[in-house]
Amino acid sequence: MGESGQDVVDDTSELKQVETRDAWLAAIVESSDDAIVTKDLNGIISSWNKGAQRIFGYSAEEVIGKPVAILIPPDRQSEEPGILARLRQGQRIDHYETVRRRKDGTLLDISLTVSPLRNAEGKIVGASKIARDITEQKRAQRTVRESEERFRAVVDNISQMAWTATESGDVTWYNRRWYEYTGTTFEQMKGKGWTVIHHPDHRERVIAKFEESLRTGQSWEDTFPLRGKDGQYRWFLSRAVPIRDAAGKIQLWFGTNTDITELQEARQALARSHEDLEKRVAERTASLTEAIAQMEEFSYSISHDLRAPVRAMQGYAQATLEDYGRVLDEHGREYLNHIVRSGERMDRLVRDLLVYSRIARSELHLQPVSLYRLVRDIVSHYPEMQQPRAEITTRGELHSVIAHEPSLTQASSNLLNNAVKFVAPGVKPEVELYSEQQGDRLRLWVHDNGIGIKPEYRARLFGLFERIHNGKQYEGTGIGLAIVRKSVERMGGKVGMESNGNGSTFWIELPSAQTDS
Amino acid sequence: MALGKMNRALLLVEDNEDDVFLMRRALKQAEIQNPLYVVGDGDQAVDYLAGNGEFSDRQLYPFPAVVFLDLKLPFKSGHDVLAWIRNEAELVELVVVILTSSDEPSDIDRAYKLGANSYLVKPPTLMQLRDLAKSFKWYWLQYNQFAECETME
Repeated sequence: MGESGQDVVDDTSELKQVETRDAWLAAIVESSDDAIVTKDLNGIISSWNKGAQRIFGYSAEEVIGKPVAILIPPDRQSEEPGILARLRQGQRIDHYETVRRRKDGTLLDISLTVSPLRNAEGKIVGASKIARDITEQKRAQRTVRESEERFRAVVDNISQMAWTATESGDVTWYNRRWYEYTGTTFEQMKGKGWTVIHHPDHRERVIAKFEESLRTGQSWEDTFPLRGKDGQYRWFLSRAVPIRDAAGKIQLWFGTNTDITELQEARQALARSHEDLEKRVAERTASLTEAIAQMEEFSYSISHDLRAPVRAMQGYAQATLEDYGRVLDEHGREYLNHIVRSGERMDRLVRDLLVYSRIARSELHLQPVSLYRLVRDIVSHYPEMQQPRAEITTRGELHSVIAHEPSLTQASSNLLNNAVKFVAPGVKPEVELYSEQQGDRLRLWVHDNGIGIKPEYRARLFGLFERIHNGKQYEGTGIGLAIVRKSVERMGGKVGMESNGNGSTFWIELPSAQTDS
Repeated sequence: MALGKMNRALLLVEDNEDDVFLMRRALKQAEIQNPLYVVGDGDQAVDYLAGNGEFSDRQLYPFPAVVFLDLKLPFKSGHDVLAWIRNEAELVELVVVILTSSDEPSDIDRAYKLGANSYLVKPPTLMQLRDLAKSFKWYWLQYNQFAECETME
């Protein structure tokens, strides 16, 4: 190749460049997913790429030279003259969404961009048309819309009020329940309109807390009253959560308001009834305290007022006997003796009753008490329990119990008194005492050689005013064993008796003072 | 010391006339010679001991060596009278014997805490009351030494 060849070469390379560029552009057009079509100003198709073939189903051979109207469904034929008119004026049409028809007659959604094509002189000679199949996109949009509609349909029918708000807290939608309850319209409520149905006492606080959540993006919860269409406020528990996109940006807030008025009222009613109960307890306690005070007053009166007239009756009868006994016959003296004895008995009854009531109401301080020492002290007080009138013996050690010593002394001396009292005439009372450990408790047994108790009377034995022996033979008020039971029970113990025809055996059971058994 | 112990006055504070009768009789039977003065309520007891009004005449109402004080009385109770006595500088050493029908532990405790010298429960029979009067005579009138200031008056 020579010098001249240089130019040729240059020409050739320029031509090559042009050819290369054309081929390159053609390749781009051919490989595009979009349909790229050109037409002249009469709407006759002049080029047709592979994308167009794929989207519309026609091959290039089938459509080139045919009017573009074959792609337009019958109900949209009127679109084309308008598009052509705009093209002639040099206007461009961007992303025009419309519907076109495939070769097989099916319709598809497309987005159309149409640009005028000019020749070297700048005259408009046709148009390039880029059509993008947006059927999928449209379907996705429809799906979103439908799912949104379904969501609203559901949320419209829940019993709670619900709403959505923008990232900045402007409400964009309320469910039906909201309008039913508030009697408002969206126009009144949109944006920050919702604040007007808040109670003035709570509004500032609610807004401040809601704004705090908007700022931090933390879900929101609050309880406040909202005004209904009847002007009455009801209490709502309100919650809202932020809904974020894939990047974590808040797209909207979804909130609900749940009517908790009844819950609130139930709580208040509960609080009221609790208060009421407290008051009633206080009143009962007061009346109980009063009853106890009256009971104590009553006991006190018995001890003083009731015994005074008895003492007087007895005293005057005695004085009459002493001063005028000589002028009375035997009958008169006997009558006076009856009065004296009745008076004594009455006084003993009153005293026993007082002991009983004192044991029933007094405070008991429990501590270890040695049974041996206790029995020894009791016996030393009563000549009728000592030799030669009676014999009281102990078998083995008596051990200690947890008890209130004065009460246990009272109970034990009553048992011992009974043991030496209820013997057959002419029999010397013999009483044996022993203790028996039973787990963490101790039983004190009092066994006598007395007249015993018939099985049918045993149930009544420890009752108040129960007398199961002939009063002429055996003196008693019928309170002694009731005192025994009451005092032992008040110390957390039990009493009982067994009789096997050979005297009686009474027992008192109390917590043992022995730590190890 | 002009008067011997056996002649000194005894004051009985008792509202029940039957008890007054029985007490007089028991003292007499116990051969207690001391004159017995009686007032029927707590206020009178205070007036007698303080020498208020008519009681200012100590010829008619001599200051007692011993006071028998019932607890349940009209107006001031026996406990109130006892508390008053122990608050009076001149009466702190006066012998006060509680004589009542109450054997309530609370009454007994309170009486001793307020400064009673002795606490006797009225016995149910005349014989026992007579025995009590005799014991009283031997213990309080025969053997007991009274504080000096109580003989002044």
